[in-house]
Amino acid sequence: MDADSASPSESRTPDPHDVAALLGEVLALATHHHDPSRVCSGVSAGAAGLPGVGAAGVLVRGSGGALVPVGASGEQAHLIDLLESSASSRPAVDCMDGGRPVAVEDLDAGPGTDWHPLSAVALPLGLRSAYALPLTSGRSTFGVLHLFGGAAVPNGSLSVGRTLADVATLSLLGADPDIDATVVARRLHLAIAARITVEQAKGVLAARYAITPETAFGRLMAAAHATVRPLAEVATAVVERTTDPLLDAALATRLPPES
Amino acid sequence: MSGQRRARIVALLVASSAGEPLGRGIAAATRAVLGAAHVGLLLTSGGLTTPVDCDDEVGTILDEQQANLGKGPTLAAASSSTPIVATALAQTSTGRAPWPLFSGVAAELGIGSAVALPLRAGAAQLGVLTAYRSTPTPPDDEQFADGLVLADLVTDLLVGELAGTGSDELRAAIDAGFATQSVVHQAAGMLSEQLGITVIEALVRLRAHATTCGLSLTAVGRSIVSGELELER
Repeated sequence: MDADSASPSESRTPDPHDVAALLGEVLALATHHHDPSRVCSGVSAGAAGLPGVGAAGVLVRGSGGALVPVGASGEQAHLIDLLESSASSRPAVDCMDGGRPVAVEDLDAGPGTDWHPLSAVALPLGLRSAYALPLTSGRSTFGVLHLFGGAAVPNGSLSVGRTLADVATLSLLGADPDIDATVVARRLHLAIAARITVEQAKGVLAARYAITPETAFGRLMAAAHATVRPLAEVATAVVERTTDPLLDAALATRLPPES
Repeated sequence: MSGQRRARIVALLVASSAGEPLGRGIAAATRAVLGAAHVGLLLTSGGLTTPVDCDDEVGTILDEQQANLGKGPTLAAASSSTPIVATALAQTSTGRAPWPLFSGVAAELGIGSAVALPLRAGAAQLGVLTAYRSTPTPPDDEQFADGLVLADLVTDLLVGELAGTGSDELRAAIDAGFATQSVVHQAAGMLSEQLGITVIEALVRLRAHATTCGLSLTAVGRSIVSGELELER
């Protein structure tokens, strides 16, 4: 996470070239590969790179009704904690109820506020603002793209964020406007199961190669890319210890930033 | 928001299970939630399947028949790890039934449709809960959504049972559900690699350790991930 990216000296409007490149990248992932896990991670990482945004994640409604993270802009433990805390906090909950974006521009607005539990996690990370942008199918809202900023996030970034939320929706549910509720429930169930499998696979690789879970996620993504397989499929192979020389070689490869 | 959905199904499961063996309680809840005439509950692990006694002979026969025939919604749910809804089982004459042999057996026993729900936590598959219904139509959206919640709760319950925390602690086991905590699943993955066990076995170990030490599952997960805690083989 990079809360410093919200410094006032930075440009306040997203650069059109950057936005075009970002949307091109996530749309290619969403349309050419059926891989919602990677799209939700890519959408989150893309959103976190927008001016004024420090962290982001995609959460969807689980079978029990609670929101569950299915993609994050980074895999650090504190960021995952942040997203898990945001699931039951006001911006996300209100956004799910009303189907409209909900903004909290100052999480430090004082004790006794409804978003206080989220503040306790966000403020120490240098994140003062929180935004929940709806993921909608027909008239129902099934999830949110959650953004966090070091200060109020500029409108330009929020607009691009809403488009990114639509890309996540496209990847999770497909383009069918008449999709029925049972199919939606099934798809979301699968997306959450995929995310849980990825967490389990991060643990397996962390123990196997003595690396952090965060580094393990990087290896899973790289292996999915190298073997042209969906992230969830690669994660399942890891957890079930399926022998696959090509995959094992990809997973054992250190990535440049690991050095 | 339907946080109430989970609360409602927990209450139903608790009410159905009061003073009953685990399998019977689960079966009663499944009948209520999915409008089932009969219920089958199978544990699958390492290619073996073990029925859990639900005191429902017809449900057990329907599960067994699928194993004998090698095909059916329960097996499809197990192999695909996704919920399977099989409708119009009695209408084998249409020639479109995906499981003609099983459909025949089901029709004879008065079963028109089946909902087979995999009991899984990520890649860790524990078994399949199948609701056999007398109507040929699929469950409505609400019933199906309730069924998914029930499957999650039953998964938590069975892990608690395997961890030896006892079915009398039903509510506690469900409240301590691991369904969505990232750190718990990371810890299960680590433990499975360290001890050479499956992820389900690792979840069972985590749950047992948490219960023994009076800690939350999340706290145990964090200690494992940080390397502060190592469990013996």
